[in-house]
Amino acid sequence: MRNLWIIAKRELYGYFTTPMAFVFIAIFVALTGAFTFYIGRFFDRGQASLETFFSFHPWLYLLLVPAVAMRLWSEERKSGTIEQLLTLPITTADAVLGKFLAAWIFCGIALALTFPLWITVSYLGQPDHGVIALSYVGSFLMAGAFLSIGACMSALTRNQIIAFIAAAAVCFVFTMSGLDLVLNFFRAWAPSFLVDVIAASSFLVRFESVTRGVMEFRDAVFFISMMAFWLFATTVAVDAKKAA
Amino acid sequence: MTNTDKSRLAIFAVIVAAVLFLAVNIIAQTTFSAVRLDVTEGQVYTLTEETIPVFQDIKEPIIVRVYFSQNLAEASPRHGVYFQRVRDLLSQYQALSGGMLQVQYFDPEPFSDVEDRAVGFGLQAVPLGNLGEVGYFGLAATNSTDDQEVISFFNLEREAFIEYDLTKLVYTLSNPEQPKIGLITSLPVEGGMSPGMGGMGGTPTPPWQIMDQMRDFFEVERLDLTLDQISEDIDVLVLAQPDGLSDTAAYTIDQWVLAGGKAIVFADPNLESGNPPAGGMPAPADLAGIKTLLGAWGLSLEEGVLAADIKAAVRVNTAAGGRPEISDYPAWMNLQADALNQEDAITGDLKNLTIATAGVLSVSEDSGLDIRPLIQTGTESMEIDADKVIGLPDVVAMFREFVPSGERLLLGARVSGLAKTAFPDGRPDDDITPMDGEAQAEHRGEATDPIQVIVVSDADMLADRFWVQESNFFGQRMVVPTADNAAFLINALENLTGTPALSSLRGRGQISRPFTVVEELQLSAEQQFRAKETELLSRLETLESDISAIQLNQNGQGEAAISEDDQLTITNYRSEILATRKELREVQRGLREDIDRLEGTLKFLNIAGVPIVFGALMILVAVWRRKRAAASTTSTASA
Repeated sequence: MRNLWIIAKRELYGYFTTPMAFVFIAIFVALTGAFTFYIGRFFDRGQASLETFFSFHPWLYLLLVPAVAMRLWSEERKSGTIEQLLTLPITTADAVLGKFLAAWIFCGIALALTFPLWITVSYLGQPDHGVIALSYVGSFLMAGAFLSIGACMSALTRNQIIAFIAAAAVCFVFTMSGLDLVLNFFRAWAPSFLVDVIAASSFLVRFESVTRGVMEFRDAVFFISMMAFWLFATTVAVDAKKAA
Repeated sequence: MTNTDKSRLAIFAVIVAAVLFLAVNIIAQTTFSAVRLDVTEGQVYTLTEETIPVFQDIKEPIIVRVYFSQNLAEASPRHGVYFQRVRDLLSQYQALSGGMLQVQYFDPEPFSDVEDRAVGFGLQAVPLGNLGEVGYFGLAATNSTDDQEVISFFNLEREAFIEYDLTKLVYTLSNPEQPKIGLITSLPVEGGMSPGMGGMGGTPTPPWQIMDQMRDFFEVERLDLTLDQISEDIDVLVLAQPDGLSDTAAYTIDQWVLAGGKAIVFADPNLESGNPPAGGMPAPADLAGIKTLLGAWGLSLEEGVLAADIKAAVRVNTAAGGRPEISDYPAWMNLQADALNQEDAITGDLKNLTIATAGVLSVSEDSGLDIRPLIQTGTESMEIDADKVIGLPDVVAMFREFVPSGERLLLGARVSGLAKTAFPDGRPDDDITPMDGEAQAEHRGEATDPIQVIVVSDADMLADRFWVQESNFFGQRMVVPTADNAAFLINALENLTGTPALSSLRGRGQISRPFTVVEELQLSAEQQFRAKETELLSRLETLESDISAIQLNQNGQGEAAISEDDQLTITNYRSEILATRKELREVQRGLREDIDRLEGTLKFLNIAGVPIVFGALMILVAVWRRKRAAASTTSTASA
């Protein structure tokens, strides 16, 4: 457990020694703001709620989270530092969780820096603060789920670009599942119970339910089990590559 | 262990994890479907305590059949989520009912018997995609006496009202015996005719929604404006604009109320929602009968004035000087919760009421009755001249000339106490059958138990256009309330009839949270603009009259007499007119300036603010680090 924190801290510190952190956070904050105001027509709607703001999160994560995740393992493997890391007296699980945690906290910081919007709606009207707080929690959980997928993809390849594209593609499937576009593809060959399961695994639908201001037990379980599964798969992948 | 074995093991482990993942989610989905954390203000998504008895008190079995097409969930995930919510609610209700509520689910596949039955219940099919596929999402419920209640389609617009709709449906089925309301009205509540053009008949207008709302809970019987008795099974009288109430009827009501009958009165000195007159101006309402009664109940309608509230003013489209304009109309008020008595069961849960050109109630000091306000204007109110709203009111002028009085005007009140009769001399003379001794003996001079009466000085609030937004949903009327006007009436009726209150649910769910700051800016900008406009318009008028005066002078003296001075003055005046007109246009443009500026600032702060501050911080940190690094190198070097 201590090792986990040491790795998480080292990684997180690493983010802020490069301009990458700034670029990512600036893009994320500016894009959420711009989408909310220009595409979501936040001001013209005249409603003191952040519904439009949050509705863009799944789509932004789809591109930005894989960009954070792609370097988690691919880079280490390409530069060979992975051997160093894994010869340290820590378990693979510690390394996987530590790296994930650092990236997740980093996403959390980016998310937290959208706070001016919360101040803005509070200034303009009387928003339901409970709903906004829970939506932030939901968005953070969703970012974690996206990130765990990205981590796994990054562990599978030493090419960051491939890791990015693979992560974005898998995330896209999980975002869009539940929509006809994806279901029709599966319906052609998969048994119907599987189609039902896929329909229920949509980030979009789960997240929308949270942004109403209600955290359903099943939605919390979904996001957390999603992370658990993908991180387990990451551990297996890192172990397998280490052996190879 | 070989590498192949290892990778086989790895694949196996991942498959086991995936199965575990699915299992956990399926269990969470099916077993713990009612476990949730509801952080919304007012807990919109949590079962309301007060409704629990409705389900516990079900005496005869009720069967609820829910029809939901799986393909609808696939085409529209939002409806899938909504269906889950409906199912969760129903399963909670089912658990409360102790087996009296049975819920069955059907997937009406195309051309199946199930679909035929769904259609038979009157469920609404919605088209999915363009292959002629349709989906259903509605329910039909029946009780043991074959009464039937149907929700033809669960529309997303009504999602916030779902608990209310379902509770009401169950309540209606488990309580087939409804209290009886006697309705005395001159309003076209059952539909009327819109004004015709040039002698041609108008088009029929639909019945008012308020009637549907009342009939959901009560049996409504229309009574005559000239009634001379009230049958015993009437629980509450509703007098909605009793225009032309006969003396006998007034007397009968007076006696009935003194004997313990309950009444709700809507008396409107300026009705805007009546039947259009056959020709010309509408005749002023004859409210003499009801005014007599109000007097006995310690209230009166102030003569010749109407209530207006600038803060609650409704935004209307109007025409000023021929050009269309949007302005606040202070005689139409959208009163918020602070205008409604939060301590009274009737108004406590309500959020807003829309009231149109209401009269002002005044309380007589010496009645000895307990008169409690239910609806009042805010302090930025004014009594306006009733003549000003006749015909096409000059909304802009009204706004311009508004002077807040600082007092709250009374628009609705609850009266109780031992009232005296309005007819101390007994039955009025105009009766065809003169009073015999027996009737005389029955005359009540005073109530023995406290009377219960509610009085509102507006009747327009009952009309659809002031509280309902209607949309057409695949040929069906979808009704979404924009104000709690109907809830007010139903609450009042329930309160007076003593039916278990569904009122805790009724006010819920209208979640509109406007930008109050923007609204205030709009209001103040508009007031400034109107003031400036008046000033500029009067200057224009003076300038124009000055010019015509000079020209008139000229014409009198012949062309040769145009002096150079006059010519110069005219040119000056003309350029001043042009400048004034330009200024006026600019003032008009300036109306939105503050709001636009606010929008711009907020956009900038939210989009670029954090990146700029954060970037600057990063640079500072980098510089500091470099300096520190340099310092440490120097110190190492010197050591």
